[in-house]
Amino acid sequence: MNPQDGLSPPAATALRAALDQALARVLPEQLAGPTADVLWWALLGTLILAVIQVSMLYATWLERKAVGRIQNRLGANRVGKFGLLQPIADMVKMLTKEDITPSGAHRWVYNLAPILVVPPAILVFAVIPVGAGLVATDLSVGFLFFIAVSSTVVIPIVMAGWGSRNKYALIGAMRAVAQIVSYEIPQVLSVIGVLLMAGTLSTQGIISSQGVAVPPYGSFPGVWFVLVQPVAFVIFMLATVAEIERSPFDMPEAESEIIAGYHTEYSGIKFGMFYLSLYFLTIAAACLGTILFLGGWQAPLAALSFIPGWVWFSGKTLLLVLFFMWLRGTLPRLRVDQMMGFCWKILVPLALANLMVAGLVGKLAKQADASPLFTLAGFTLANLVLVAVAVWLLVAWRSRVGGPAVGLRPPTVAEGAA
Amino acid sequence: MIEQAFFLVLAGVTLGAALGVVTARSVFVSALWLVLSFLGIAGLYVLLDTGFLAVIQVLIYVGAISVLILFAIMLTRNIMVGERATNNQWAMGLALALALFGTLAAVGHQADWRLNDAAVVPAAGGLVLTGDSLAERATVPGALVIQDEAGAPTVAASGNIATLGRAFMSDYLLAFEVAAVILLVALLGAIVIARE
Amino acid sequence: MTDNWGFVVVFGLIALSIPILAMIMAWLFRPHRPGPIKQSTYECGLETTGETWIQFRVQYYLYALVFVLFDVETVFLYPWAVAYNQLPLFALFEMFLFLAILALGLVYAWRKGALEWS
Repeated sequence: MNPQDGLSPPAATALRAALDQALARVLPEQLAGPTADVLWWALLGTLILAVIQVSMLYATWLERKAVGRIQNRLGANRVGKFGLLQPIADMVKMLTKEDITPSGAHRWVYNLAPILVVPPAILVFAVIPVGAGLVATDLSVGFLFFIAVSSTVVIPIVMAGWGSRNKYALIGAMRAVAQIVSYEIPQVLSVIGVLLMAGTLSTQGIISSQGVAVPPYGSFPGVWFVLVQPVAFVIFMLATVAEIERSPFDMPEAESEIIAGYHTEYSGIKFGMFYLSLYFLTIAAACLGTILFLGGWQAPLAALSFIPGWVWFSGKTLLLVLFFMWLRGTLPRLRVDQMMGFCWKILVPLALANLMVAGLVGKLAKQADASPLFTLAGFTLANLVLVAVAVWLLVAWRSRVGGPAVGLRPPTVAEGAA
Repeated sequence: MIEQAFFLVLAGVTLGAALGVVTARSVFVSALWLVLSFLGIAGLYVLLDTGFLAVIQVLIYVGAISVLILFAIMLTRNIMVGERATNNQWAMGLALALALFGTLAAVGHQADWRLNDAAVVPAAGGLVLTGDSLAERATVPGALVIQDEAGAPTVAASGNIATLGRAFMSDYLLAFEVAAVILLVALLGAIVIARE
Repeated sequence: MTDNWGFVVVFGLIALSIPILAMIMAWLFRPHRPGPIKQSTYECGLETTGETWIQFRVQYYLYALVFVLFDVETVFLYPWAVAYNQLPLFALFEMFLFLAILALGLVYAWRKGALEWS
């Protein structure tokens, strides 16, 4: 939040002014400015942290309830009314569990891994805007910052796998990393189509381009990107689910498959850190989906814009989080070969095709100076053609191969076996 | 003043991590120190006001290349810890490294590092793009207005990603497409070798 | 600087302090009773057999490799995408060529089985 840009809420501006004055009285001229800055940032950072921490705790509660309901049971409901104190109980449990360190583990690497897996998941929230002036720091490379920081989480995972000195942890770590890393490509490629039209990497700018303009950004195409590029939205959602290792892409940590993957040898709070990081990333991914495709904090209709931006943003993010939980509760887990095949052989070519189509139609729409409605019509047509061609190709591939298009073929039964 | 302090800290981190790479006991830990030095370099890019390069550094070096290095290490080594890499020639190596550093420092100190506007303005007769007048370029966010030799204000390399994009598509188009070919060749070559 | 990276630094430090704080709290609250069985490597409840060495599977490396190359490709895509609204239509075809060259690489990797799991 920059008090000078005129978009921050009045309370924040007043608070900042009070802070500046208080420090100007106590410190000499040169120090007062920077100190005020640092203190303001620390305050902002703590506030963001508090909000996402509470959100994350109740996301875990929501998950247990939602998945429980999908599976026709009640979910956690013992601790507190409706199980609302369950996350607190879980936290207490993790803090008081004995820490069992395997004897051969590399002390530094093993212990640093759970510490280093959390900061990237928190840091990405620095560029998430929840309102017109409500973004911690509107970096001109905001989106890229998000992707780069979230991609660094693979290093602590590798450290955990190697540092545990456990075959299964190591294999689990490598599988997890191969999965995370592979799905980054379709995720990014699908978003480039969105960036083409937004013309900026700034998160606030991307939101601005989907509706009412927020200076200094423009407002082309003026409609939410989910309407203009639904294919990209679907690819992005699927790739993101795989990135954050949620079911149906949670092979690396499936309990029945490989014990617990890369965090096999971690107990108590150290395991808790991996769990924490996963949930932060889930919320962050939902926030990113909202920003890129659902118009961020902007209301769908001008008439509804009296409802504050952060309400819209939270609502849309909640919707996406529920969608993730829905996928978890309903779809069976993919095998690792199916998962990788799906990424590289289906999602990446589809994302490339979508990118080219989006580029072509977007450029034509911009040059013809089309109205939002006309742009929407043009894109809908182009997307229908794209989806039709993709489905046709997939069906043709499947019939040629005589079975599932990706993944290992099931063994064929010999003819005439008794 | 604060920038100077940040620079010293980041330089210290980068160099310290680099030292860690060569003195670590196991190859895996060396690779982790390397990751830290990559992060230090990303910080230095931020100080140089090229946020784009900083995030690209983190994305590519920390997110991709480090992973490749770590995989190569994990796949070719016993995961038992404690294999100390012994090297009897470290004194000679140190001397050579210091000599190289001295040469580079001397050259770098004497070079003329002033920003040259001609390097970023599309050459006359090249593809004419919208927004190339001085007034328009100066309003682009992140533009840096300096004085050239004649004392007139001119726009130096604007840290703007759009400028980079336009440069790719006009002046440096051939280099851009050749980059694609290089990547293709790297992919082909690596697959051939890895499958051996 | 027009970008506010100072916040990123401060926030990064705050973010780093969270796991450290959690570790300290846990260290204060938890029991400490180590034992040889508890601390042996976990392998489905059985004793570890053989050296801890995993089979060399080149597939992991190949996935990381193809990823690096496509990651670099996306790095070239970002400036183009951001500048897109200021570029002529021809720039789209220049990018098509770039993507086609790399798609060729993907097809090669596919045909040569570099993208298979087995």
